[in-house]
Amino acid sequence: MKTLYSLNNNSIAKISHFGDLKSMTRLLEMGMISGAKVRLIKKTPFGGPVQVKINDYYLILRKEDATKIYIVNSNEK
Amino acid sequence: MKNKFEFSILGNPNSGKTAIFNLLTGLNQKVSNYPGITVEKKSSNIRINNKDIILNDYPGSYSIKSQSIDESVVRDAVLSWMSNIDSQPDGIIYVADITNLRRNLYFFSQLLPLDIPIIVLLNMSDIVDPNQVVDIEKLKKNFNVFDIIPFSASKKYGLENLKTTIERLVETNLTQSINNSLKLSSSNKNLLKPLFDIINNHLKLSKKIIEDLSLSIFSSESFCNKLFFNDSVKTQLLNERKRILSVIDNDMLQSIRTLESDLRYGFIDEVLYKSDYKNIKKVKLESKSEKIDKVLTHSILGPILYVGLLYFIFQSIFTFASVPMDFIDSLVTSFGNNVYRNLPSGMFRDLIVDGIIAGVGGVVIFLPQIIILMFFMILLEDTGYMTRVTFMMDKYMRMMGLHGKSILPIMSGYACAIPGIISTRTIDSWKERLVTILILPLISCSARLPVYVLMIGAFIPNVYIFNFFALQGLVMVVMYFLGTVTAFILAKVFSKFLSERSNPTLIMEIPPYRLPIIKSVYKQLINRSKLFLVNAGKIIMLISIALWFLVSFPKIDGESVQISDSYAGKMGHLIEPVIEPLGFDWKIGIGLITSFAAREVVVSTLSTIYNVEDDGDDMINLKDAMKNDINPKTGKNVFTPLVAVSIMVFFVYAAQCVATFAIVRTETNSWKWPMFMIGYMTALAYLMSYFVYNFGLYLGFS
Repeated sequence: MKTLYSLNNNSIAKISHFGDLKSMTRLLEMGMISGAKVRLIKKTPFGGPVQVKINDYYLILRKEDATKIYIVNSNEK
Repeated sequence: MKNKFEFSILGNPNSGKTAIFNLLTGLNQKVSNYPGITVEKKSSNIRINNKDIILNDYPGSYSIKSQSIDESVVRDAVLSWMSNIDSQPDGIIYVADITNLRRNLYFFSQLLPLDIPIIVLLNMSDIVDPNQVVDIEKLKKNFNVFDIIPFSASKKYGLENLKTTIERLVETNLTQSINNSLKLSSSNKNLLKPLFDIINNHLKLSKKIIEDLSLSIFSSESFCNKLFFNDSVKTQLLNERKRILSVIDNDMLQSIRTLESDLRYGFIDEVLYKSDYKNIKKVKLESKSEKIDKVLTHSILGPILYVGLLYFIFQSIFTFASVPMDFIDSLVTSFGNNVYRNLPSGMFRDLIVDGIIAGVGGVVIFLPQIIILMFFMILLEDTGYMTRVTFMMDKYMRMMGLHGKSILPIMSGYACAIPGIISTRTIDSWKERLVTILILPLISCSARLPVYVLMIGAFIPNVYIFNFFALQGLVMVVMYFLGTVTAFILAKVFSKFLSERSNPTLIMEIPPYRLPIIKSVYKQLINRSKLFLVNAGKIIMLISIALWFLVSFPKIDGESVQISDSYAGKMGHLIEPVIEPLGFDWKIGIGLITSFAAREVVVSTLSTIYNVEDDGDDMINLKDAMKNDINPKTGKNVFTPLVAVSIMVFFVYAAQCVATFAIVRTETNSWKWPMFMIGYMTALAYLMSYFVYNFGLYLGFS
């Protein structure tokens, strides 16, 4: 299954579910809940953090979190 | 009817709480465009229409389930309001960023069950008109809160409305309101019933609060441990939680883990839907800031620009400051000379001119440089650029045993280590926070600046390399670089010996770029300058006076002895054997002793020593005096370029700031770490200075 980290820059997907995530509570509180639409803005080199847009704001999170957030395709282009 | 009321300002980080607190109180607490600038509760009294009101500004928080030390301040406050009605404030002023309303309502939804009257401020109304987003009247009715006010802290819009609303709330003497909060469905109630019953049997709390707490405990084990129950209740709750989870089948488990946030966002979405909410900013929309970031956080260009910017800042400290510095210098000299001519000769005049004016004046002259450095630092933070730096540098910082959020403390460390150490509270990792604190004093702060500038100005020739790099500026950058590189290397070393106590990660909001508010920049600069001058006025003046006595006494037959034979001279001679291998003589030794209190004191110390030594009538120029000083034993100059470099290297590393150690003691809750800090820094200073001096001698410098 695809993860948030596997998204290409500037593509949109819907969050489906979560793997074993240490920081899940905070991500959920920030609105990263299943069904929410996210757009991947960019990844920093060498496996650094990624920037996403969720709802109406921008968020950064680390690769180890982004690889445990599973996504499904969104109908939005 | 009571006459004293308490209001608490709460909201998400970077939503503008402190700016609103400043507007209401007239205070100048630091505001910025970086989440987590306020790290502890700040209180102030205001009067609205003959009523005394205590206003509390809390750190920003996304939830009562805190992730870092600054957020736990908020968690503890809210939990105490839950367990003890008497500790509740009379009202909550909840600041919500209207450009990002939905997420801002999450923390809000956790406050609703308290049934404290709430005034909601829809801040940033100058950027997005709240009426375009939501029907405010309906929103107010659906949450059943006291009032909702469109607000703009930067344009001061809504301030009068807020004041009259506070007044109205105080006057209605409303002690409890009935907020419309999340209601559990009957199936969820059944699921949580065992937890509900345990709490209900032990404490008298409202049904709403118990329901909310059971939900929060159910979805987070660590949160339960922070609650106000005694240990046996906690154990019961956790055992019960485990039991419920064990009987649920695997398919359900996934949705159970996200139950609380799903329910809360479900509740928020329902209220928003009923209040005609229009999500105007879609996920696919590219904001202006995002376009700017295509360059500024570009994976290759971004870090290059950042390093270039740093180089520019440190070069400009040297370039732009020279004119105002010369001006202050001539002002101090002519002031000293005037005082000299107008006072009758005697000890009092000597104390004033050679002790106080020479000592304090020697340090005040560095104000322009500190202002320039502060100005750039404030700009980087207030525009929102620092959050981008956190994003770009996180990976590299982690390689060095630090955290992306260590960047802001390190950058503020160039101004002063103390605010830097305090701002490490936002780092959620215990280990990475401690490592950041331990290496922070190696970052060259503005107190080293006077030392560098004096030594460079006097002994490094003002020439250009390749007609482009000023040698003086370059040496300065090298000093900064030396401290910074060592800091990173040691961070890596320290992190090898410490073990992690928490689960660190980096989850951070990237705010839009904003133009800095000129007034706020100006006020921060004034505050910083005041601090520097008051410091100069207190510590440096006291040390200057004490030093003048030590340098001028004992007197033999009413005549001053040579400085070398004075009390201070004897102290200097006492440590001279230890510091001689570094190229330092006893005069520098006196400076090293006095500068343990604060680094810049070494400059005032040298200034006082040379002024007392000088028999002439006028104030002397410290640079010239140092250049012309000859060691009578060897017949050579006391100060040479090599000695100057050795002194600077010593100051890069030496532990010389009492205030820093005091802060490290409070922030780490132990004397162990400040002691360790003094030990490793002193050893490093001695070794590095020894190496530089002797390597220089070997290369043929004198």
